[in-house]
Amino acid sequence: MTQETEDPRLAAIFTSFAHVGAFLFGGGYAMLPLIEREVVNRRGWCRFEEMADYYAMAQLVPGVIAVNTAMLIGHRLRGFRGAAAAMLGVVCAPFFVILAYAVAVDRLAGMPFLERALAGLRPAVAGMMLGIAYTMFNRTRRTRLGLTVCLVTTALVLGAGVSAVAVILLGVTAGLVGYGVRKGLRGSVSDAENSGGQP
Amino acid sequence: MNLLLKLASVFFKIGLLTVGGGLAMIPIVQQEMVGRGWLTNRQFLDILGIAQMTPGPMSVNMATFVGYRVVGTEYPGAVWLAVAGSVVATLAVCAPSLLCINLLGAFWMRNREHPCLVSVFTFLRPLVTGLVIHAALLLGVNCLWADPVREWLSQSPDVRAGVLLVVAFLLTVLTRVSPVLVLLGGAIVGLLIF
Repeated sequence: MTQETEDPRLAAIFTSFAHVGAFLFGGGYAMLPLIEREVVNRRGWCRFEEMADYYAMAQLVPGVIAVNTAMLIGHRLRGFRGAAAAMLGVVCAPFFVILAYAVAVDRLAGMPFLERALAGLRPAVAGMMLGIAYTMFNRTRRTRLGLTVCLVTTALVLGAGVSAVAVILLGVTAGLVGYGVRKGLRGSVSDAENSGGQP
Repeated sequence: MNLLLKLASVFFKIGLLTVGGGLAMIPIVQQEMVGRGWLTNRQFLDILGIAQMTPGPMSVNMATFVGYRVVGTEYPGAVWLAVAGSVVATLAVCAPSLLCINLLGAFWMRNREHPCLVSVFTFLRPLVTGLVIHAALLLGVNCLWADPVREWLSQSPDVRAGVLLVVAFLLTVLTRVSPVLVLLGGAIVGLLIF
């Protein structure tokens, strides 16, 4: 019977994504090999190329990429309930781990060994974030638009204290206006072919 | 129960406004948490490090932790209420995407190469880089001085933290060492030298 691939049970969706969630370290790209192993190879719920599509789409939808990817696959399998099952699954293990930490940190507050470990952890996190920022900046500064937008954003947030949310809404507006201007200049029919393939 | 509603609305907003995932969320979550006095910059750094070393996306971890903490601080002793707080915050941060995916799933699939969306994303990607730079600078300054606003001109930075920061930066930029190892290393070195 092909019941497994045609109409997977919600419990199966939940356990599969709970498995993915339990090993999801570092988020983002780290998720792809996990999904490939569990959802593509073991369950046969979608093809490899399809998985990449969901992953790309997950970045356009608000929210966490890993959770979005899981929900998109769940949605394809069983609609709304499939998406909800996938979401609960992927969040399950991380939830209990952090809950345990939150309970423990209350009990252990002031313990010197924890304080010392955290004192070493903080600069490690900050250094890593600076490293990621540096790598992202190197990729962004390749285009003039990218460099300008990036520097203006940093200046607005750092210098003028503008909130991140406001800056993002500003960026969306700029993107829409930019599209409108280009469309106005070029005419609408050939526009889709001309700029549709940009990365 | 006002507090639970507040948690739900704040994390719903975070889930709704963070496009691009992971790193893009850090500045927004930071502003919301620190701005509301729910976490200090140091606590934010701590939970960021813990989030990297434990499974799951950072903002989901953040929601779970902050939900427990905020309710637990307000109602000390009420452990189950605090657990409810973490459940509410965790579900709230995922809820916007669940709604969007159900409403827009088919639409996104058909139109993700549309020039209008492409244009929006050519602005959003470098913008996110700018936000990450800001967040990284803020975090760096905060682990070098206990009170950066008052101390950064008058007092010298914490040298041990500075060395750790530079090492972590170089490991991230120059090698492909897993972030989990970098952070675990930081915690172990911290145990030894602080």
